[in-house]
Amino acid sequence: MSSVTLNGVFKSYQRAGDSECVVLRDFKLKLDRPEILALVGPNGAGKSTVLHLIAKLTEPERGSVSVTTEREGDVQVGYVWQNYRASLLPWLSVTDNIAFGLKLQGRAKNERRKIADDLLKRFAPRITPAQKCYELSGGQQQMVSILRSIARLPDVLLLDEPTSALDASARWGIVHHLEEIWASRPLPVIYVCHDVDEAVLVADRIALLSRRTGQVAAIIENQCERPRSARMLASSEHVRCRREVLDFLLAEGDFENGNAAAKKNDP
Amino acid sequence: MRHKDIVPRSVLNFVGLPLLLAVWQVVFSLKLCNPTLLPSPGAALGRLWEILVTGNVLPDLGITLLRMAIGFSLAAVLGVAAGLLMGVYQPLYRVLAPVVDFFRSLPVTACYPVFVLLAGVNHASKSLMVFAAALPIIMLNTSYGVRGVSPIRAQMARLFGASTPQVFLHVTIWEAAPQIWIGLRTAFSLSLVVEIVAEMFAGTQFGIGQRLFEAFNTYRTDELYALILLTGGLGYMMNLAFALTERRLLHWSSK
Amino acid sequence: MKTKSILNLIAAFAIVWLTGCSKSDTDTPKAAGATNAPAPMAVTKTTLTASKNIWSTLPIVAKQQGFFQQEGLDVQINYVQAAKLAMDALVAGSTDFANVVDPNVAFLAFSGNKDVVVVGTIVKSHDSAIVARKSAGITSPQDLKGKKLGVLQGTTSQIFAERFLEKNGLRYADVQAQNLQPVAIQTALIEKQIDAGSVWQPFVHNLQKQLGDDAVVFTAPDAYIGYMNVAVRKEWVGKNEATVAAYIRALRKAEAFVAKNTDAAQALVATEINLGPDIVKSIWSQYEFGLGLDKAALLKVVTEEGQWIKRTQPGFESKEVPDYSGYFDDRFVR
Repeated sequence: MSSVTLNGVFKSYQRAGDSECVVLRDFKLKLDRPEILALVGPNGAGKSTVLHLIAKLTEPERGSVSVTTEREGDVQVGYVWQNYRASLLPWLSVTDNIAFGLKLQGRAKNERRKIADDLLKRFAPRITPAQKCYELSGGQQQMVSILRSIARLPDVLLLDEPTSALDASARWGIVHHLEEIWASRPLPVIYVCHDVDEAVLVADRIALLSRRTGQVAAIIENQCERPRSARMLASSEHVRCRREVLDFLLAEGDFENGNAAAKKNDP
Repeated sequence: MRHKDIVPRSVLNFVGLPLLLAVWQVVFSLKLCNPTLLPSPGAALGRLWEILVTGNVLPDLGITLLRMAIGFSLAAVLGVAAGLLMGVYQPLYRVLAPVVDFFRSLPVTACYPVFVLLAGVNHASKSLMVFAAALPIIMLNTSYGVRGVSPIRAQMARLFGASTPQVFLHVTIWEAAPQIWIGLRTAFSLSLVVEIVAEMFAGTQFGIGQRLFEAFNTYRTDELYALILLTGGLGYMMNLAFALTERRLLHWSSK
Repeated sequence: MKTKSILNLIAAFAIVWLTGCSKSDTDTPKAAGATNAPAPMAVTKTTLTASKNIWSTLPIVAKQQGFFQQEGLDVQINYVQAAKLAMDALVAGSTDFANVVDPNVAFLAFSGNKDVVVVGTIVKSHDSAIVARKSAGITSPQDLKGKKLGVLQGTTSQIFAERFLEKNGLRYADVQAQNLQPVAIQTALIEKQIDAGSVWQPFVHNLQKQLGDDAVVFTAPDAYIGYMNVAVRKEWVGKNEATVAAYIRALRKAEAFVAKNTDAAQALVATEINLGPDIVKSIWSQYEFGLGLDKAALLKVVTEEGQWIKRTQPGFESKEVPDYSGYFDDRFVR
């Protein structure tokens, strides 16, 4: 079992003109079971900052961030970036991209390629292992990125707006594949997302981050059963969760991050 | 309605040179330039064929390419190494970049006495001039390549546990490779020019530049233009070799 | 927008330059009280292309002292790096007059071009020399045997070297000739990369200065005399005889000036060619500045050079030595 704990975290950034911007203020968040936690909030609320802190890409000024695991060895964090093109290695094949983390671990070539090819066969059979990433569509590239992040069997998986750069059909494809992947090996996942429907659909819990307070304003539990699918977008539980998220976002005053179309149809 | 190409695209690749020769022939036939100074394309091509078939241009060609290759190879090795260091260490970049940029613009042949002082009056000084002209270009392009590496890729590698040397070996060098190649390709073209100009400026026993100067000086314009065509053809083929290599080895650049 | 501004600026410059170039004669200011003076002589614009060195003394003096102007000529002098480039400009029709040396004529004739004609000689030069290093064991001409001699092939440097060696009982093959430009010969000699060099002024002077006591200079004034000549195109001279005559008259005046006012001539030439006055003074005696055209002598010189070209220059072995008689016209200097 793995867990992620942020306690009393303060984090600020230098803005242009030397002024400081406090993003997280006495921030608290805990995941201690296999679940998907969506992080939703207006721009500047610190969603990506939370992921960077967990991945140790940055350090908090105050407070603690810890990721623990019961298994032996170092904690493995999987990360999926929004900009898949900038995170994949175009000089490597799809297989070698997925196996990249395993290579750094020192695994033998045949072994790591087999792991990569098995993942592809299982979750993305339409992608040819020998292809170059730039030959794939956006959705396929993001799939490769996701498979790379899970190839090392991470203790926690972080996804930073994984579908923002994709078109609608690719986006729902990723959501569907992620559901499959998580079902095959449940683990703590933090999913940063701007789209309210997407966040609600994937998540067991939705954490609402407030830009004004720099903290988690509320956590919404989504009781929808798994496996989730796009058909559940109209279910009452989904609609209830969505309304709560939208109310929060409207109250935060950042209307553009709500699902405008959904709000129009919301009775 | 789909627009059809008037001339198939594959044919267009081969139209430029014959067109140039046709224009040249027209200029010659209409005597727009004195025939003492500009021969017919036929005379130039004929002379080119002659010097290639009899092999009498080979010693000159060989020496020019050898001196150029020595100077360029040294510049490539040192330039890439120094450029990588400059790209990785910001303080080093700040100190060296203005200096290297300064030297990039210098007319190398005008500093001939310095090269003679360092390397004598014969082959070595010309290779050294080529080296001096090529080095700044390779250094700067290599450092640009390193500095242009996507921070996300470096982040990704670190997240997967890569140490700093591993980030460098698995990400930085590869990502910088297309820009490094651009530097090498540019420097290579310049190397040929500098070698030939150095030969013309300083004089030498054998060399395409020397032959060019002699042909120019003695009104042997068929030979002069044959050598010009040869030099142009050489440059074109070398560039093509670079482009083909790039397509194979650096298939991801510009993707 | 930026491109447009630059284009406008270029257009403005062009307009100013063109109106400046085509300034009419009537813009010339009249002297005070000269309202009843006769109309000024029509000025003919013409061009001379010449190398920027002491060999161009007569036309430089003619321009600076207003002799060209007195003859109704507005001569624009275009300077080039070598006389060969002046010959090229003449052949291309981009200059009316060119200062060319005898080897230029010798080589040109092989190309079959018969349109160039020499109408006068403006200087005979004895400035060729072999400068050697005493530290290379050279104190007499015979010591050159087996030594590295810097020579610029195909030019007077080679001609002089061959003739000098012959005069001193050596063959060209007895030295290790290294083909180098004069700039490179100068550097290589100073850096002790070669033992001697066959050069002309001001390289001889520079080397003497740089090498100091280590320098030994071998001259042979009769071995090679360089002629700087006034050349024009035949088809052009046919239509512009008056201009050529006026040009030659101006050079005649310059010749007289140089003879009578040596110091002044040296000073203004030194300024024009950007060479130290002391250098100009020290090398002046190696030149006979005078206007003339010894047809027979020049023909002999150039024909001998033609034979030398055929004998020694790559690519000329199978060519016939041209007939040079049509390249000289002395009627303007007689």
